Amino acid sequence: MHVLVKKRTSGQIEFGIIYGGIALLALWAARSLPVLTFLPSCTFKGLTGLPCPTCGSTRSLVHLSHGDVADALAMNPLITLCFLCLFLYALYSLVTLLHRMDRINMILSEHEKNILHAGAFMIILLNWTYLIFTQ
Amino acid sequence: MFCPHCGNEIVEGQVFCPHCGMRIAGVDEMPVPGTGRSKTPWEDRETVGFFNGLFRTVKEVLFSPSDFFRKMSVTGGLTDPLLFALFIGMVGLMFLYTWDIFLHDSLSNFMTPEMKAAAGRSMAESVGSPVAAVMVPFMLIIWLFIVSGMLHLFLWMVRGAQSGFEATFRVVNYSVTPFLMLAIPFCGMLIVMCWVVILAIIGLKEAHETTGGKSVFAVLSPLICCCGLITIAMVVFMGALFASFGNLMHMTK
Repeated sequence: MHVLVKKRTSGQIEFGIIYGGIALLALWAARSLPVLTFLPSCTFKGLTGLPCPTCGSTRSLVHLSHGDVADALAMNPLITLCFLCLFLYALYSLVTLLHRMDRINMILSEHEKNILHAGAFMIILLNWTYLIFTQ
Repeated sequence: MFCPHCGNEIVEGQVFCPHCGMRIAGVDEMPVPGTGRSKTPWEDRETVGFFNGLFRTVKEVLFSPSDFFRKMSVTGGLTDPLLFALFIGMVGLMFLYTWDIFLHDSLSNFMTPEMKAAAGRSMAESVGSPVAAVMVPFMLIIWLFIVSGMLHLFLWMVRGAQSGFEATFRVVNYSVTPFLMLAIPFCGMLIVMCWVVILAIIGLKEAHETTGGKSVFAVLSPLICCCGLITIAMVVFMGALFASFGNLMHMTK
């Protein structure tokens, strides 16, 4: 793996900030509105009796919006961690944009990319297993 | 010439960087030479005209999607595809809104009490405020970003994302073209849902130059087993919309 500094190009789209903004809006809605009262039931769970890999996402979002990180993690660890990572990435993107800083870029070999993709699948499966046994 | 990814010097015209292996042509704003990709008629509307560009794009996406997405440039900014999706989406939603106003009461006459309860409130009643018309484009933009993010993530997991996120975003935006079928009452929504899914599959396959199987996985997986994510997107943002107009309390009574 090579860690490099990538030069900022003009007109570069900051997806981190866009998605960070959407996540903040979601948190605001989860905190301000009774979203759980009009939550439709999970189709996957209705059909199979098992929770889907993202079951509990809305409840974890509601917990997260009230600062209950532990409860949010208990509801759906992967979604909670994704939200937290997204906020950190959005913050990083915002800082680099405001200060016109170069971005850190990681160059992975094919082998490392394979490990990363397999790891992503493993994490989703582990999270799903956790949900099946706890919900 | 220098690689925009790693900064090392490379030979002019090289497609892949010999140092980091990244594709050089993919970062250019102009169509990639040799790949046959170019601007869509909509993106070239200054030359071909607004309505001509719109009509040709709609026709190509709906009736020859493979050719359209194969030729579509995978870079060039988000604004043009977003404007296209907004325009088409708003036209389609206006049809939906109109049918809902005119047909809701007529349909109710044919429904059993259980069906009426399941169908819930009319969209016109729920989002009846004219202010909703101002909010809907913002909701549509958020929705497009969420869907693009989900599809790109799933495509990346199966190593199908050969181009950047921008390619996925462009595919998703042009895939909303069937929203025009909402002009058909009763079964319009069903046609739209099926057509959009098919276009997204074809679009991802062609834009990312990946296999059909990976493309199908990326589009269908979130639909089948990630209703939590879809629920977050729908409920939270629709909740925000309803609450904005003070209808929420009435709805939850």
